[in-house]
Amino acid sequence: MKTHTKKPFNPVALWTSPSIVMLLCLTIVPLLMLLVFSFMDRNIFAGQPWPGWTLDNIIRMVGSDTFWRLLGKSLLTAAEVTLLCIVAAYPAAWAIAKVVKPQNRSIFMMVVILPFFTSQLLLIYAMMNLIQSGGLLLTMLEAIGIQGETWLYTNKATILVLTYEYLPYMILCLYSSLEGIEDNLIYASLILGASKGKTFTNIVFPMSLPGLLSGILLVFVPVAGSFMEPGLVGGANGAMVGSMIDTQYSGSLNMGYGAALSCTLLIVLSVIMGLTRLAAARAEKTIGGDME
Amino acid sequence: MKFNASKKIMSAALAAVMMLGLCSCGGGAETTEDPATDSSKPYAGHTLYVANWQGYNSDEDYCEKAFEDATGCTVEHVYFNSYEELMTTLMTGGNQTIDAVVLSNNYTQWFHEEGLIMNVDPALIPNYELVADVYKDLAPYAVDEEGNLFAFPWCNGTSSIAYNPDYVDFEIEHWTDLLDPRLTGHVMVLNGDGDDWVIGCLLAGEDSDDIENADIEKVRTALMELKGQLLGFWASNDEQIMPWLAGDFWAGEIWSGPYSELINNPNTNIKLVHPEEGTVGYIDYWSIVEGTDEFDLACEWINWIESTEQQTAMATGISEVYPGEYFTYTPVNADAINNLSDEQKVALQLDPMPTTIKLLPYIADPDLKDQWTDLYQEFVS
Repeated sequence: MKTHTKKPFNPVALWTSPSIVMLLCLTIVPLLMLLVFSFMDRNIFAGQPWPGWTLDNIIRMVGSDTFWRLLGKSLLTAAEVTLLCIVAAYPAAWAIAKVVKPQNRSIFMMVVILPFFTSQLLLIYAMMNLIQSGGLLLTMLEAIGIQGETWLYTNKATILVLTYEYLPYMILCLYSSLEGIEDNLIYASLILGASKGKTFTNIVFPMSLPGLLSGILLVFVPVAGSFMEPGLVGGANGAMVGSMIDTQYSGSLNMGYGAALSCTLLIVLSVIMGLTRLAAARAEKTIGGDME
Repeated sequence: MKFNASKKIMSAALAAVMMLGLCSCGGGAETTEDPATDSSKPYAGHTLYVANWQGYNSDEDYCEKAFEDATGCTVEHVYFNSYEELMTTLMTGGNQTIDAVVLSNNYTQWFHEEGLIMNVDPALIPNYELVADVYKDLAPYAVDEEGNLFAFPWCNGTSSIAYNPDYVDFEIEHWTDLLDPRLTGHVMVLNGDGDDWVIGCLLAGEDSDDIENADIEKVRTALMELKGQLLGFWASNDEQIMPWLAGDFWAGEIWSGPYSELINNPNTNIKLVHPEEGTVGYIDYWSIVEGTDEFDLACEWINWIESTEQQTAMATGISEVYPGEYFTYTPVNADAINNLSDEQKVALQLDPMPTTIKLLPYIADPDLKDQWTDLYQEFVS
């Protein structure tokens, strides 16, 4: 039975107010501005101090085949990348959390975050060099008698590069969850006769769900909005919805239309993330009971 | 204990990531060097703020530092990533610091109409007389209906067709040759609205100089046909050179910079074509920002940058005072053009000479621009 006790006001809490104000200014206000701009005619910075209100941006967006096609493609790409990251990150995070000796974990964590030490653009260029025709990967495959074709300038290349870029986020999130699972729990499950698979599905997976959800959030959302990677490695059909939004801001200076597209993407992503969280909560209860 | 160790590791990892993030957000440290004090230099102690693309000639030592040596002023470059970004900067107060800007021909008119750049008496820029007639007093790009001059040509370029004879065993003479099935999957063009509109018009037989009356549906059909041929789009020098050298990019639009690099590369082959129906072209201008408090110095800068000496250094990449490896750009100064060697003309896409240049178009009507932007978006998606 929960009891609610009124906590006395702690003046130290005032120290958090600058952070709260900053967060409000950097998140809530820009989001509200985005929403307002969606109903603006063109751009407040393009010679029209107060351009006026319009629904044209929404109408234009609803009627744009290109936008809906790119939105669908972006969500599918984000789902694929997220899935690949989960599959690749679970064993890696498990190995670092449970197999590697505690004193060596920092070295492995450093390896995981090493890509953050360089520019994202350089990482993409490095990957392009690796997979292009005559690149290291195809040359090595040829050396062992396997003839391959380059993936560069295809959607596969976009997925590969995005997975490479966002994998560390998933590993970090999963590691934090997996590391918190007591070894005794796993031993108890095994001693009581549960198979390794059953132990994973009933103990490890439900307890790692918070980390997994964080990982999904950190991977799915930015991947769905990415535009640099598809532009560089995706080829003629590589563009995603982020590319279209980018064009409105950097190409045609139509801030209103760009904001309408951004808001729609934001709403769609929020709904997907909300549903994912609901599904995860239900799965948590069904598989392993309420962990809260 | 183990839990504490884990927390330490996670904390260290997250701290490292956050530190890196914060470091990348920060700007460069400001220096507090004393202003020049040489009284023989007319602009000692003055600072000229010029806006340009990063790495685009004017921030090279042979230009920036040489001008500082000559005048005693300090030149500060403000970099932008798009003209829209530059316009936003100027409209939100950037014109209180930025004195001169680089603008392409399809943006000069827009900036002038918005009152962001000012009319300048050509008598204040004596070297303007040396500009080749073909680039001088071009309306509507540099001169308004009342004859006011507001933009000074600096350099120009063409994005013509190049192909690799090692992979292409037939002559490419026209833009429509890029639709040949033998090139499927190996054609690249620039990811840029202006270039793609011009190419679409050239493929469809429409006049990009009168784009407001061009048949957009015919252009759409032509661009969609071209899309089926594409390997991808490029947006920078590297994105042209890398696939070319890898043997993936066989034919398509190319800038003069990568062309000059590839023609001098012994490991590849390249042939340039200027189709008779037209070559995509641009002229980049310098303009003075309305409201500048360094008007005289800005005029001095433009005069300097249009001098035969500077234009020759820009075209050849050779500087005696500040030697280095520099990209080369096509000059507008008539003497500088005439002094180029045959090899240098080839490298600057001036040999063969283009017969018809189709400049990037400017669409004034916002609704019409939206239609063309949608078409561009469809093409690159």
